[in-house]
Amino acid sequence: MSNIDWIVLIFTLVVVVVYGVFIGRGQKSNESYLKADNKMPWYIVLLGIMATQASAITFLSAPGQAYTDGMRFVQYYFGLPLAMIVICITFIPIFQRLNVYTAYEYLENRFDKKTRVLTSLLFLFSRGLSTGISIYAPSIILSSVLNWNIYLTNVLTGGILLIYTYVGGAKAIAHTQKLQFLIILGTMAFAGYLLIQNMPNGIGFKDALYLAGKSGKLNVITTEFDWKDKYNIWSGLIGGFFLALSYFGTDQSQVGRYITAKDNTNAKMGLLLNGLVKIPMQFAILLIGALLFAFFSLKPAPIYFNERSYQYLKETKPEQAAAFEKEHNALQLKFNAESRAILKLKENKSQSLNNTIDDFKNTQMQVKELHGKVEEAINNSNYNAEKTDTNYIFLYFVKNTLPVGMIGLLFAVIFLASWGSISAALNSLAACSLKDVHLIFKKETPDDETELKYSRLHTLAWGIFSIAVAMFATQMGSLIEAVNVLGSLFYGPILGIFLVAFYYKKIDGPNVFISAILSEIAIIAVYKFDIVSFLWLNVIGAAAVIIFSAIGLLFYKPKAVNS
Amino acid sequence: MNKQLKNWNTWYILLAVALVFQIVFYYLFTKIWA
Repeated sequence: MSNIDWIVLIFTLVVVVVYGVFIGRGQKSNESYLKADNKMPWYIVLLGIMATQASAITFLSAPGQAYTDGMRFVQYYFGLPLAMIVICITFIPIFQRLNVYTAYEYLENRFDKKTRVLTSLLFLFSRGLSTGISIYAPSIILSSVLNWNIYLTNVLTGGILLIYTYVGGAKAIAHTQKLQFLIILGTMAFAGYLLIQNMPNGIGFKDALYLAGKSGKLNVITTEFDWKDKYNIWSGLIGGFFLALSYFGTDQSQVGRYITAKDNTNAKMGLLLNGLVKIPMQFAILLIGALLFAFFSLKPAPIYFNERSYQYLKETKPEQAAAFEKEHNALQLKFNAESRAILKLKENKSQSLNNTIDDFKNTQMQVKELHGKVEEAINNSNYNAEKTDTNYIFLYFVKNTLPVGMIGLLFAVIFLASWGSISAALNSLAACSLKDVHLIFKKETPDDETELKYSRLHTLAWGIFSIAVAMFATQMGSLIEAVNVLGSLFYGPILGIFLVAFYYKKIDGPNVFISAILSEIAIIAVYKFDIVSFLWLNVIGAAAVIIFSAIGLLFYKPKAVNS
Repeated sequence: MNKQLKNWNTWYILLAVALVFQIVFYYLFTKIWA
């Protein structure tokens, strides 16, 4: 990076931290620290919800996903708007009426203390570990691309945000998320514009779209049903609906954002607008990936976008790498020529267009096969940092094509996207460990000032814990993937508990408690035997709690139930 | 049904309709370009 990029990067990050500390200063009560005094307007709720969901990996991985697999990933979000409607109708009025600090507080009111603590512990366990991974995941990429020390990068990604999160709590998080997300959206839009501008002479947006389409990258809707297929319209609508319902309705990192709203109206407006803009935003990010494919169809593409891992292969197995490169260079020349020929023939409406497209697809297949061989060779090597390629595609373009200044801003965007979701996670972890565990087992209720002190200490402790998980992540290897699926294993049963609480008034605490534990065992079994893709685990987990609770009613007569 | 709830129902329906329009748009987008 040039000096100007460094200045832009550091300046952007410092501005956000200073702004967060300034706006969050002078916290006097725990309500203010955890719920921002319930003063947030709808647009801050909206940006907070979006910034919490969109981590750095969202912006790095999504363009790479479209580049390799096409745009069908967008279907994953199709159930989200419907989930927003259900949350507005059922969840928000109850959370607001009870004036809760955490979503799980409601479960004590409806069931009993042990159900609240169990659900909160499930959340703390999965979110605590996954926050560590969401520090590690962008850090390993940044450290590889910028040649930084991984431990230092972990501290930059997970530690600096602790300054304003510790000082200013929910208010600082809400306002910094607003600023972060506006910077992120503006920068990504500008990067998309520069991508079109940097296409070879005479090739515009429509031509790039045409090439991306012919290479199968614009497959936004796929209608074939398959239980094991992750992204099709059915898993997106049904599985995506349950996932979004669990995430936005029962995950404290999201609930903690909209309970800061001024009132019901502002919370609902934030969520409904999220339902309206989320899919188009994701579509736009994926479109950047599809256009990147067109870009690298017309210009020389590297053999492997993750340059450090390929460099390792080159150093350890030079002969194999040389053979790969020879084949790659020949294929690239052919692929670039065929791409240009397609665009030329398209304009002249020539008869030979279809034949050229067939050749182009054939070469694309060969390029993919060669990429697979390189990937396999890297996976079989002793390279101990990240070996995958997808997350590096967008950054390769940024580093090698964008103008000075913009590169620094894009790297700042990666930090800001991380900070937005990690700060919300730390705040929610602190709220749950304090309110649902620590204070529950404390005999005396502390005064407000002491509670605020505790909240800050819990925030700090979770921050240190998450950085520690990130530090250990390098040694964790395949366990990282296990942590990533933890969310899917717990979300379904947690949602099931809430659905029973809202809609199945006959069920009481002991029944739902046992049903939740049985469902958790069932969902782990379904995952272990690899029966369905992960999106369906949410549906099955939620349904299992409801079914086990209904069966429980046959054998067990509930006492008086709170509604 | 009070007036506010009635208004909210309108917003919920509008959001659901917007989703349908989006899916139709993406379907046509796929048909035309893919």
